[in-house]
Amino acid sequence: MGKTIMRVRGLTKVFGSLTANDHIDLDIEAGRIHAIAGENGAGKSTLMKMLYGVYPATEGTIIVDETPVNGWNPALARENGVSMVFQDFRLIPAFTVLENVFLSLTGRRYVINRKDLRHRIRALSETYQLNVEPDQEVWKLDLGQRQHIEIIKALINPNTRMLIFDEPTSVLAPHEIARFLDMLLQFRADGYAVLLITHKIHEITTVADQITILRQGKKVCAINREDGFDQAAIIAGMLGEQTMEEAPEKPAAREFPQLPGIALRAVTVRDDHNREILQNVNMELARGRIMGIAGISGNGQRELTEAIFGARKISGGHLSYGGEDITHTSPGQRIRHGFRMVTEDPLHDNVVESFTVLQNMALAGLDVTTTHGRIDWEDLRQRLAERPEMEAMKVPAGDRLAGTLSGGNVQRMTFARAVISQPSLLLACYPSRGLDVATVAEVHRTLLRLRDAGTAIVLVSEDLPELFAMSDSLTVLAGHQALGPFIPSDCDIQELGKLMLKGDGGNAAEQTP
Amino acid sequence: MNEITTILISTIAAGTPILYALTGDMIGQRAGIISLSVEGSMLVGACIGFGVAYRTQSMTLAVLAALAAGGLVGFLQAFLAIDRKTNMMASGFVLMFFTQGLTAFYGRTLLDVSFRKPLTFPLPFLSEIPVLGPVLFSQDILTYLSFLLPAAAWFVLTKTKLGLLVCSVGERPEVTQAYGHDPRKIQYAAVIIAGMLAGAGGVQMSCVYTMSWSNDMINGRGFIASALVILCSWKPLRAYMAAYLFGLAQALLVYLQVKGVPISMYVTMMLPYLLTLAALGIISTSKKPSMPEKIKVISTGP
Amino acid sequence: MRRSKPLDCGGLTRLLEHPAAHVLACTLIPVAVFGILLFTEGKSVMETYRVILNAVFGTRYGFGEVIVRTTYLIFTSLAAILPYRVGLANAGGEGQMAIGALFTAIAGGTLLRHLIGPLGIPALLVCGMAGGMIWAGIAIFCRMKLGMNETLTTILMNYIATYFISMLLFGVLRDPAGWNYPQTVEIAPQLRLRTYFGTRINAGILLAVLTAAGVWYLLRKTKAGFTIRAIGGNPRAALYSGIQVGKVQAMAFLAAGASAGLAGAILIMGTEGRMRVDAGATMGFMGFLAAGIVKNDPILAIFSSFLIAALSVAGNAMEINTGLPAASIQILMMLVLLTIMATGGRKNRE
Repeated sequence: MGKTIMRVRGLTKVFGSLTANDHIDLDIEAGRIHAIAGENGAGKSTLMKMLYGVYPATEGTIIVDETPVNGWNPALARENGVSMVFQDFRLIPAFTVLENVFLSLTGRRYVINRKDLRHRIRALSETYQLNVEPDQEVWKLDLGQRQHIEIIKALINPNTRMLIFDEPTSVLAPHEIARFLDMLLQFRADGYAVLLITHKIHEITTVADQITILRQGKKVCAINREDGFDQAAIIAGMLGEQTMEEAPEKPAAREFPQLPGIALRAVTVRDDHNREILQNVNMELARGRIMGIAGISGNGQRELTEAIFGARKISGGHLSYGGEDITHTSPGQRIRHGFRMVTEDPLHDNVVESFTVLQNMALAGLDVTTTHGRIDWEDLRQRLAERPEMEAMKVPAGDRLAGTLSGGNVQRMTFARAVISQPSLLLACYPSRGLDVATVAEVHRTLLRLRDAGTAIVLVSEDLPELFAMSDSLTVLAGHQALGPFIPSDCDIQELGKLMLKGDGGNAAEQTP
Repeated sequence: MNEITTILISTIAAGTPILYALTGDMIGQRAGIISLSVEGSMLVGACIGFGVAYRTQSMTLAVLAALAAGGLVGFLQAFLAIDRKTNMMASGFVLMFFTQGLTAFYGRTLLDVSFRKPLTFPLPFLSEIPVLGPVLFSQDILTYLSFLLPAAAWFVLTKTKLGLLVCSVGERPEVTQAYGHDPRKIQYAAVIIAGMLAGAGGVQMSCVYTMSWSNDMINGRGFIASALVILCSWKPLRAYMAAYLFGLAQALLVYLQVKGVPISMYVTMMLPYLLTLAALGIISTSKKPSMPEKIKVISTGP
Repeated sequence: MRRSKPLDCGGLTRLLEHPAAHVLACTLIPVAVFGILLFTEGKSVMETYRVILNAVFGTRYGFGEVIVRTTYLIFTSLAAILPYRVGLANAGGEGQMAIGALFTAIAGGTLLRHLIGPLGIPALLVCGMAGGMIWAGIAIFCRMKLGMNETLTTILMNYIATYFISMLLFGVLRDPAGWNYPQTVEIAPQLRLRTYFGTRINAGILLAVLTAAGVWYLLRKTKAGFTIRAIGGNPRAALYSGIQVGKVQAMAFLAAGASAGLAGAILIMGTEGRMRVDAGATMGFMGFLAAGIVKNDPILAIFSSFLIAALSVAGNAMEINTGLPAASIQILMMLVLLTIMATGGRKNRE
């Protein structure tokens, strides 16, 4: 057993009325992989940020090398050999890999020595088989490569002896995950203490030496590998008493031959860097059907939905609505055709923060009425009150300022707004993200109800079980292509997962110089 | 001296104040803050610098006073734009009017005087090279320093940690902060430096170029400098090209007028603004320049 | 993005957030600071402020001048307010007003000189608006089609307008019967606005106040205003709700140009009668500031316009009576504005 690097005693973090971490104890030892497991919102990230000094603890002590630390902050943490690989990478896209690494260096280095640094980056890349070229600009790299830069930033500091990984595999394709886990084992062999935050059981049982399970901010239990890992026990620890909501019973889809459908013919879409992220997409979105979009995130989900909605230019091919070519129409025109969209970042894309909830509901929700040019808000309020969606989705009161709403409430409001007008096409990107179980079930029920009333639905999700349960057909976005459609009942999750990888492998190969 | 030499000398003279303000504002813009207040910094630098030079007959004190005054205006801009979250365009604009008033008020006694101390230090031997000698090596200290300025800015911004930190603030301040540096302090420093350099440009203009003070004598040169930063695509070494192009345009127009070519004086005066506008148009229609992300948000919206 | 804490003026800032304290601070601090400046320059503080007050309220003519300038400022402040509400900054009211005035003077002196008043006056107002819209149109075209920053463009266009007008006034437009002064021929007398109370006050002030009220109603109550406010609040959300953001922005900018152009038209028809170099100078800039003082509220802009108009009239009086340059009053004006910017709340966009 290795030397104990860090001890944590009674660490507590309170945000307003929320206790994110409640008296957590941990011991972190050199040469061991310590997994922190828990569901989303269990307090894992908060704990890591306290260990790395991003958040000051409300209560409790951090002891490094048997000495309690004072005024713990990231700079001090790095000095003491604690490095963190964040989930949202701390990288500047406009800089090269080398410049990003240089920025992270501590100590008295004021002028870049490119030659020396290039050499050191290449050496680390070789040792751990990282796929990083020092002089590439970061914005050209995919997420896996960006993670490698973060790892280099951590390792290049000679003090480093403890590595914290915050949900490292969430940005990786499955074939990359295996390689990543191998890398963790190599770190362990080289004597680093590894702290791995994850909610994926498979990863934990594969590599961890010790598991600490958090639930609702509290430490539930700690298990050592020597004592044996029991998958069922770990899952029970993470989920607690709560049972998973059963997927709703899905009635057979009805046909709506008289309603105009949406079709994509050889559509090409470019990303923000003007590269063709999707080519030659052919897709039929029939009314009364849910089309699930699967794929590793960043494979064109956002670009595709934006292009269908009209917020992004279609740079090749055609989009039609009931036979009418609408390739070059604006979002306004498509909204008049009944298109609605809930984007992946509704606060950023769908909400005016300085408006009230009621005013926001008027943005492509229900139309406002005017008398002598004057908007009748009372009328809108009454018509909204009559709608069951408002109640079912628990949309906050009309007079609240949208800027004061929580993420979940924003999601509820934008989803209710999108469905309230019985759209012809609903583009729903991660509609259940950030919602509690009951509301997720309500979202699913609403989607099915819309489907059975004749809406064509595009459902983008990272959650394969959700996609399988909800979709009438599935499209996989991978390697610049839209593959499918697949019928969920005719294929299994494993096969679809492989497909997602296959495309992604091609993608990575192309970007490697 | 032949005519080409004359034109080149006035190119340098007209371009130097712009070069200072341009390099300064480029540093500020790299940190994500556009300082339209460099106009105001130049104005106070010109006025106070000239006043100090006239009263003390010391160019050193004049330059120091101009640096301080220009930096102070930069500080106000930084405070308004960074801490008060004012629209940075509007605050720069307000500071221009404020300094117009201040310099009119304090400069009223300087209107009828001139400062004619010989300031040039011809470098031995070098200044005797034909054409280049008088143009490059027979100048005042401020002009000599200006020759080095963009190169120094280039070195700092691309080769040093400090420079990369400044640029990182203009791209992703949250990353800068994650490295334990305070983006706010860096922005303050960058905007104050922008003001100081603009102040130096101002004193160069009043003490060396026109050798007098007149109300609102900067007359939009600070704005032009801010616009030329875009023309340079935020690359320091291109500041030479932009500033001297501007200087050359002015020099040529003066030359043509002296030669009796019949152009309206007002066309001459309008041309720098027109050229800057045209240059901005050309640069923004051609390939997208490497604009700092924070500036991109301001100038082209989401 | 989160940054470290701003300059800590904690208690003071919180105190100043009280509206009454804020108004008081924004009046007293500038007056006091300006007083100190005067004192250190050996000027009598009380005497200077007496001159200022007397110039504004002491004579009928002085007060009339304040109202006349308020007229221009309301229009030019609206020229800043409308674009601000759609996320743009129009710093070009000065140039737009000048070109509006130029168009009015040319049309009133040549093409439309034989029209009868009831036809000619509206026609001239339209000419002024057209002039302002053309100048603003160039800037918004540069923004929409070429991606150029509209603030920089409009500032540069101000300088271009000034020299362009000078060029014409010293050249082709110079009135042959004008003793060689750089000015256009006078517009036809039936096209002039009638003045009242023995001052230069004309119907323009009424039009200005009504326009400001109209803009307020538009923004607050109508669907078009709701659209505009949505864009100002979150342009992406506006785009995703089907609003044609670019089109609305362009229209707001053109309307701003028209408003500044109206100021120019009234300048010629009400006060000047002909275009001169420097006619109406700084009114466009000051309008931008009047809008900024009241955080781009069209109704409050009427009052801030009056305040700035009063200060600018006072500046002229100060030059005559105390020998201080008129521009000194800009110190006082800008101190008011800087105090507001430095102490006001952060959230100031609709």
